[in-house]
Amino acid sequence: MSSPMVSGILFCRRYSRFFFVLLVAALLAFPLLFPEDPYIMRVAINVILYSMLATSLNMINGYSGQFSIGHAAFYCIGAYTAAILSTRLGWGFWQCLPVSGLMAAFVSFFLSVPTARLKGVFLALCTIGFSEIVRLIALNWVSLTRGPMGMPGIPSPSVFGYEMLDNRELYYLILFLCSVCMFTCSRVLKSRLGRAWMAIREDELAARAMGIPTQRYKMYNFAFATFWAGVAGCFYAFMANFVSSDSFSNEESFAIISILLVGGQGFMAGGPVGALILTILPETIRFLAEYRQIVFGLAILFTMHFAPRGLVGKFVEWIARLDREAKDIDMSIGGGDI
Amino acid sequence: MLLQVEHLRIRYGHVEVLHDVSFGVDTKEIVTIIGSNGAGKSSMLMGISNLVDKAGGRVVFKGTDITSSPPAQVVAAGIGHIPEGRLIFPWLTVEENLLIGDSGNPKSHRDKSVTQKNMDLVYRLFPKLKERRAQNGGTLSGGEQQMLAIGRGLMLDPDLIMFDEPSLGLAPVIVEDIFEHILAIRDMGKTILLIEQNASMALQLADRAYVMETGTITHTGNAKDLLNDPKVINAYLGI
Repeated sequence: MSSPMVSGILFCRRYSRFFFVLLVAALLAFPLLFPEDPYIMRVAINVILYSMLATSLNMINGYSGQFSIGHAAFYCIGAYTAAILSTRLGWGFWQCLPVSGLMAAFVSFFLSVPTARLKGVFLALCTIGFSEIVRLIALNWVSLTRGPMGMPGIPSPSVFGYEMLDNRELYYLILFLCSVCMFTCSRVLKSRLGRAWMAIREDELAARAMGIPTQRYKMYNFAFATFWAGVAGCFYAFMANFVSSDSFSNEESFAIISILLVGGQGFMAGGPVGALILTILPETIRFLAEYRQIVFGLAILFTMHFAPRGLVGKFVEWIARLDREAKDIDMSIGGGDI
Repeated sequence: MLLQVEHLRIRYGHVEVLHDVSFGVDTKEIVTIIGSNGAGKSSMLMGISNLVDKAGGRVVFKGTDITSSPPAQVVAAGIGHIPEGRLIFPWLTVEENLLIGDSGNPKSHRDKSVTQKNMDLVYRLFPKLKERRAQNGGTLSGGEQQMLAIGRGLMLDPDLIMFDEPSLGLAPVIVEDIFEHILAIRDMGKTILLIEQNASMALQLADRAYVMETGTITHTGNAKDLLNDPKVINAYLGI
């Protein structure tokens, strides 16, 4: 690699805080660039919503080494909890939000009582089976969920009495929720709890030998991660003003896991990067009609072959290699600045 | 006795790998258990830590029966287990590895300064780990990984440290260094239970020793005496 490239990377690293501020500014300014385009705003909302869902799944698959492929179940539980509370009891968005998250966490905690002993493909099969059970309950429990007719009449979110009907307002709302989710996740990962999850991911036997009660910590992990899927479900219900079991099929679970695999499991940026690519890419090939879903399969195949740790993982490896080169150059010129 | 193991039996499926093993470790001594591959040494440590289920027997530590205590409680009671093959966390940094060791230490839950104190102690004992504290564990050399595994065990601040084959896969010069560190750890007031295939070095280091063969203890005695025992010399020292 050329030394200008190395210098460029070092420059970017040195001013990483500045680039972060730039990214935040770009995200905040984005709706101002497309004030009259509801389609672009809706795509942007979906990117952030899926970033949040993939980040939530990342806590399970990427940081604790468990393998869930039925994440849509908890998204569904969050959405239906919000729909039921708002249409039957007249609850508002901010009341429904924590309850939806807690309901998803509560259900997942009890699911993980028997499944915390399972690993790999066995756990994956359980989660996908559970996801289908949740969808079928939503489809068939007509007295509670209106079954195949779905639940219409969910109001839009409101803040201090002001109803958010505009896509730009919804964009800022989901951006706020996703930021809170990502900030909380990154803080938890730096805590004793987060380190214990990563220890379980790396080597469960060693984690147990270090006195980490692995089964209990896996249950906490499932509950924490699915809380955010429930919160995302609540946002979805209030954004779409309607929920139906069709929106939470296994296809949805596969979309979330594809996003995470492409972005990179075990990296905080993995979810957002994957969501950006796998939300925008199918939109650009709409002319292929239903065949455009093939992009998920192709993206996974491509990533598994060329970047098994995802695109962010590949980028991190690349930076590490450039760092090593930078150190070599640094030593060859006697320790001076590059 | 600090640790008393009585009639311990361990079974994997229908195969019993440890038959009626009894032994004890006294405070501040180094006890070694030597034996060939498959003798059941590592299974015994796993049984004490409750990382595998026991088929029978009793384990008493500091006068408390810990036979059925889960691994987290065994650690909290004061037993540190440094497993065979090091089992460090390769994608986490040296410092994160050490902090995970701290997770099982109940004293640091109550007092945050304990974590820093223990980390300083580990860095004093292994200055190389301090130099490499931001580096991923998987990028360290074999000897450094063993240092990290020991350091991670020390973060638990245990009364008894169980080493499982610390010399495994290391160059002789590194093994000597590791064994010197084990002596230094004993001098810090810790009790050590050492499982080793490198019988010669282990016997030179230890106060007392047990010899294990196919899941039972066949010889026991003063380590220096066993070094001169013709049967032990013949079977394990290759002289």
